[in-house]
Amino acid sequence: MKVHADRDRCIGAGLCALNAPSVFDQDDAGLVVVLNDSPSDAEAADAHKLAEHICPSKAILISDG
Amino acid sequence: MTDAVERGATCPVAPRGWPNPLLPEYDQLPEGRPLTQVTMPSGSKAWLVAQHDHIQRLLADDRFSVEPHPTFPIRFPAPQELLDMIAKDSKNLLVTMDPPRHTRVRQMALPDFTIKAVEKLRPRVQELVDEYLDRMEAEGSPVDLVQALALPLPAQVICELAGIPESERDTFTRNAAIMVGTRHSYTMDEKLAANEELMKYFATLVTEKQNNPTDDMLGNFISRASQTDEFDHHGLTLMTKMLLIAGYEFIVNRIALGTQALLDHPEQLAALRADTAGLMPKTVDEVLRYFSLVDEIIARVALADVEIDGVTIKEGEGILVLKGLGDRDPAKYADPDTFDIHRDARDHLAFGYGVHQCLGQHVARLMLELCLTSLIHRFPELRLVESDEPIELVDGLPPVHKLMVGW
Repeated sequence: MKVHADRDRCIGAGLCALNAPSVFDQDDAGLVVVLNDSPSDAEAADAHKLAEHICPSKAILISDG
Repeated sequence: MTDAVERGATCPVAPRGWPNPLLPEYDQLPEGRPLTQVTMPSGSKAWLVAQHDHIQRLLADDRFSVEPHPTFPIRFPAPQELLDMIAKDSKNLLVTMDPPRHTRVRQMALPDFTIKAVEKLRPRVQELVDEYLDRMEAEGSPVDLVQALALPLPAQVICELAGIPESERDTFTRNAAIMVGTRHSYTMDEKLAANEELMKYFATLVTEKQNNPTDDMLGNFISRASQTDEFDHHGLTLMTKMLLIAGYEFIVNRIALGTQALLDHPEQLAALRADTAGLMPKTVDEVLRYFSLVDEIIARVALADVEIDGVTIKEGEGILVLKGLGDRDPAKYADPDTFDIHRDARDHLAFGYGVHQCLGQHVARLMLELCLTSLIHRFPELRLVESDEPIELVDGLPPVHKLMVGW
């Protein structure tokens, strides 16, 4: 799976960096940065939960392959 | 304002009781809590949204607006004069702006609210917690935790974030406490007077910081905003006042209620003492979920027909988000009325959802984490003490006046 973040949608809530710090970070402006777009299985589970339920602006996108 | 009203006729509003802070009227919502249409005092139609999944989907949907609108669901009967004032002030408040302006203004404040920026506050907040606990210990058991820690700590942290000089902090904290209802005995006149004094204070503070920029959260925001034409001076004054008092009541209550919940669950408290690093993040989220009480301030109006689960919310109809119920949704959380620090409640709605999710949430998390951690380790024998004044949660913003603890 691939992780992508839409910085135009991001509102800088920072919950991605809080809950999956090996996959996501916040830049100095507060917007999402993807640190690792091909996470391990355990990280992928967190990324899915973030994308589906936690990220309030739906800025995290996950695709197959 | 406190009378329960018939479902289907108007929006239910009632005082909240303890220990079950959810409105009893909610029991009348249909099984499974699908969307329920109600009529607002103004006569316009709105929908109560109580399922976790519905709340997330609708609050993330940009076809709903938070800006003033003729049929925006306002839950109290309001004279036109008050509505006009709200509409005028709301042009300057982050919480009542839609994108794209909301996006621009939020980004002016955002750099000082990131996780890394808030982490830099950790040593200072810990120092303050330690000072308050020193005083509490010196005072001797029992003490009122609200006055000893839950109330003064957030006030001090907010004043430091804002760069409010020591000599002026009393003015801020006294008036902020009156305005947000930390003591519900204040009258509307007293609240309006407090608001006026705060507005005068912030008008001066904004001018001072425009003339002599300071490197603090408020100084940085005013510098960034002053380089644009988003706000006039009055607008900037309103906005800075909102930034500072928005989360004040919220965090005071969560420190008190979180402590109370842990003391009510000794086995969980023992587990938390034994593995604080492992369990505290979950504990903080569970406290936020369990006490996700401020329902009726989240409202939107539909700018288009929106279909959800076979129901069409028509253009011009409102939604009222009952996030206290959403965070107790059995379809989302097993055994939702049980306080359980072992559950994964990271997706709670306590800070809202969608683009307006609380800007200061990491500051709130930090204060809650450090207060709970320090309290349970500093006082291994901490216990609740019977008080002759029962805990009472009153209407919309529930103040906790007193929590007697001993050790």
